[in-house]
Amino acid sequence: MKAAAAIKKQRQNRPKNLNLAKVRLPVPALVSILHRASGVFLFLLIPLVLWALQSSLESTQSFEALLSVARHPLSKLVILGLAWSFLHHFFAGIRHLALDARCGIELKQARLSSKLVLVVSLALTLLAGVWLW
Amino acid sequence: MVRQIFTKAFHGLRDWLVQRATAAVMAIYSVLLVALVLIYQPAGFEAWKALMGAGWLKVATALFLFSLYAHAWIGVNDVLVDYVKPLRIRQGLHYATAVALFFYAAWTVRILWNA
Repeated sequence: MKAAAAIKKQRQNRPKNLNLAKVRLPVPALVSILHRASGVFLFLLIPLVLWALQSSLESTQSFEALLSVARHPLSKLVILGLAWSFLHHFFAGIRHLALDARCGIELKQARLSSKLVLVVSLALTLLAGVWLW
Repeated sequence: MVRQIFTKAFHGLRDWLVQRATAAVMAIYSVLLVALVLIYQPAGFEAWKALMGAGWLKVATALFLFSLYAHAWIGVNDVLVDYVKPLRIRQGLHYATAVALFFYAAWTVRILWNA
């Protein structure tokens, strides 16, 4: 019993370093947390996307109204955020499926593919931005 | 025991599978839609409506959106379990998510088939 109590005390005294600013985040971990964050963002934007789809299909007037809303600089920013979230979630998801299939699970390849996910989704977002503006 | 079933503690493998199957459906649809838009380059309402109004594409769009709702259901619950510790608040968000997704599903049918 005494030993168990000593172990418990020892556990409680373990140093914790959960300062998010201090934790070193390897690229695969960054891709992973961004996969999560982009997923939440995409979920929150579902009603907006459904509204846009509805407006685009209802009538000529609602279609034109949607386009004029979309031309607003703030809307473009939201669209750009949506584009990045979708692209990051898409490519990180495909990487995830590949890892599930035991494809590229060596550390070196896994690091490389996580960098690829980051770079490709950012590059395509940039392309979307150029097209938008 | 009841609470564990209630909070989906025993549905790990099913969730895992559904998450991947719906992801595959959505990935295929996304690539398909981008390809269609690039090929047909619909300019204006009539062309867009004609493209999206094709019967088979409506079914595919519905399949995509319903996959999205199933996918989001699992994903959002994973996030809630990880970050929202107070049980009551978590349950509240759990239900709110369910209600929202059912609403989106009904809205989807209305958008696509004007039911």
